[in-house]
Amino acid sequence: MRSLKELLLPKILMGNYLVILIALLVTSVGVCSFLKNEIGRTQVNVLQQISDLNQLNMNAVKNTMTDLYSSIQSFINLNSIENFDKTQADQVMEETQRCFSNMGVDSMVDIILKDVGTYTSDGDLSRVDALKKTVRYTYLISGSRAESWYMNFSNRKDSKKGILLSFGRTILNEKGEAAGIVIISTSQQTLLRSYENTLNENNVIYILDESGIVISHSNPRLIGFSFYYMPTFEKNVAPYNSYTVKTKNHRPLLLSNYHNEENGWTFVEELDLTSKLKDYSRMIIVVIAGVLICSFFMVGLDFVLIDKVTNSLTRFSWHIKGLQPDLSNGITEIPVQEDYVEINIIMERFNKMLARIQELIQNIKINERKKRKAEFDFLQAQIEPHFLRNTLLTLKSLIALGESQKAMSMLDDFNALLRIPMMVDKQFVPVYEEIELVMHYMAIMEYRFDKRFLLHIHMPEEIKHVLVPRMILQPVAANALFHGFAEKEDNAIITIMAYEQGEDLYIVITDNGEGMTEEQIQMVLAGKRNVNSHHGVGLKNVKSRLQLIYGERARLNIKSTVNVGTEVTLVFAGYRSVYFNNEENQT
Amino acid sequence: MKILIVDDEVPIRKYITQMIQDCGEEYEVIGSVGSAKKAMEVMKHQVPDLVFADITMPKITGLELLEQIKKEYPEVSVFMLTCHNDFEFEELRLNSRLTIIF
Repeated sequence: MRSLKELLLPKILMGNYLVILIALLVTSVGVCSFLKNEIGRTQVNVLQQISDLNQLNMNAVKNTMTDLYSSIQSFINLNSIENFDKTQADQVMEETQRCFSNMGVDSMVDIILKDVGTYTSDGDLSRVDALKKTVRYTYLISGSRAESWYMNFSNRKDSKKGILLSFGRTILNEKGEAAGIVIISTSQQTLLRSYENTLNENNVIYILDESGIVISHSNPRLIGFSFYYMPTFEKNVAPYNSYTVKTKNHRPLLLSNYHNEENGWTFVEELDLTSKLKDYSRMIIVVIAGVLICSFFMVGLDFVLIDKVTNSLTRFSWHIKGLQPDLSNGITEIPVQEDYVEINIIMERFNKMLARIQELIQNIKINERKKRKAEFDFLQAQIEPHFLRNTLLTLKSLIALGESQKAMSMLDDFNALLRIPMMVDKQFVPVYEEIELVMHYMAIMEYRFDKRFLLHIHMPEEIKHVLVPRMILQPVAANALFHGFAEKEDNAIITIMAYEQGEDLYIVITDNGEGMTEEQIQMVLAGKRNVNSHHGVGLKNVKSRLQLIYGERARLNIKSTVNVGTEVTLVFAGYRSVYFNNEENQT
Repeated sequence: MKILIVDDEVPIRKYITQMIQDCGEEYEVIGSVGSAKKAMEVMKHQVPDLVFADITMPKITGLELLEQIKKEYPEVSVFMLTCHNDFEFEELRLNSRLTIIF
């Protein structure tokens, strides 16, 4: 069987751990989503800003370009492409440059005419070759081919990185064929200026072509493209999608893209997750540590609380366990010193109950003693009234008959016998007094029945003064006289033998009378009283008194043989200690 | 009148005998015995008119003797003597059609 503590503790601990676990889970999920959202939000914000800026700038550029395109177109229309001369071209250039200057764009315009060559504002033909070399890096970035914008990159042989040089647009002739490309040169600085408010060290802008290939990425220091960072994107990347990728050197990156429908550009922002992840793991560690500390305190608290609750009960149970099962030896109260009102109430009630039990036991004891006393007093053999009357009647008869000598002698014996009622308070008398009593009794009986009874006594000197309950032998002698010698006229002998065996005193009364049958013995022992013998209760009374005083080991045995005699054995078990105990009880 | 006295206590028996004899010549004590058995023996030889019997006697009690006398000699009157005055009376009253004289 388990104790209350053993029963409670695992359940409470389990419950607490469950709560802690759930708390840990919820916190983790919360922190994760918070961090994710946080990162995502930063990302989207940045992209939105870029997008807005971009649109603004690009629209301006686009508008200018459209105007420019119209003028060039009209110009071409007016003059066949073959007649296009340098003077006219210079005019266009001037016009264009003025437009861009107004826009604040530090730029150059090149016009590349098919089969004619490039006409630049400074007339530097050397650049044409350079441009021709870079033409394969010009990508379609928006719209149909007829209205395409081009981005032009130079690919210097001394650098692996391309540099964005210019935007461009195809010029068509009358037949709708591509007549050439108008290129507006721009510089890295221009682009940077446009984005410098948005970009920071952690942001990188990728510029992708229509098919999703990264053609450039930006960082505050460098705009160009690097294939080293290039992740593979699926086509038609949706706006604001985020991807976590790992670079070649295993740095975790978060890539978010934004597709601008206006200009067809897709911007990709790259975020280095290393630092963010550091924050993230630090936060997780803090959360776990917090939860662990909490759980530690919780478990401690559980122990303390359960201890506090169960200790009172445990102490209570130990107190109860310590109580003597034999409540008769007095009951020690349980000390009431517990911390809880409830336990105290139980203990107080328990104490009251104990006290009550003790009281009841005392009452029972007292009652029992009273009852025993009463029973004892009752059983204390008295001189039976009819014996007195019979004796007195006999005396009267003797006197009437003139046998005064006999009457006087009988009166002496009677007088001796009458001492018995006078010493009611004296329960124990020496054996010899008891025997004297028997002698007086027998003398009276001799007169009454006109017979001679012989009394033999065998008793060691030391037993003479042993104390026995008074009137314990007389009923036995009476039984012998009535049952043994009713019809026996002479040679009636009663022998009283007393001896000590171990702790017990034996007194054996033998007669040589008629004896009793087994049935008669049983009747005598059962105390069955009938008109035949008013001494019927005598032996039963003796037996009861013996057992009352000397306990279960006390005996009254009757052995009898018809026509031979009867032997009654009284066993006073442990007679010495019994006597002293009884003396104490009386005082 | 022939009278038989049955009592196991000798002095009382003698006393009753003497008292009856003192009453006059017409009362003749034909026997004074100590037990019912002896009383029945006496009655075989001479049937008395009146029997004084003690109730309390060993072996055959006075009541048993009474029954026997009533059976064999219905004409004989019997006086029962006793010094008991407690529980036996009720028993006696029920068992026999005795007249109780205090």
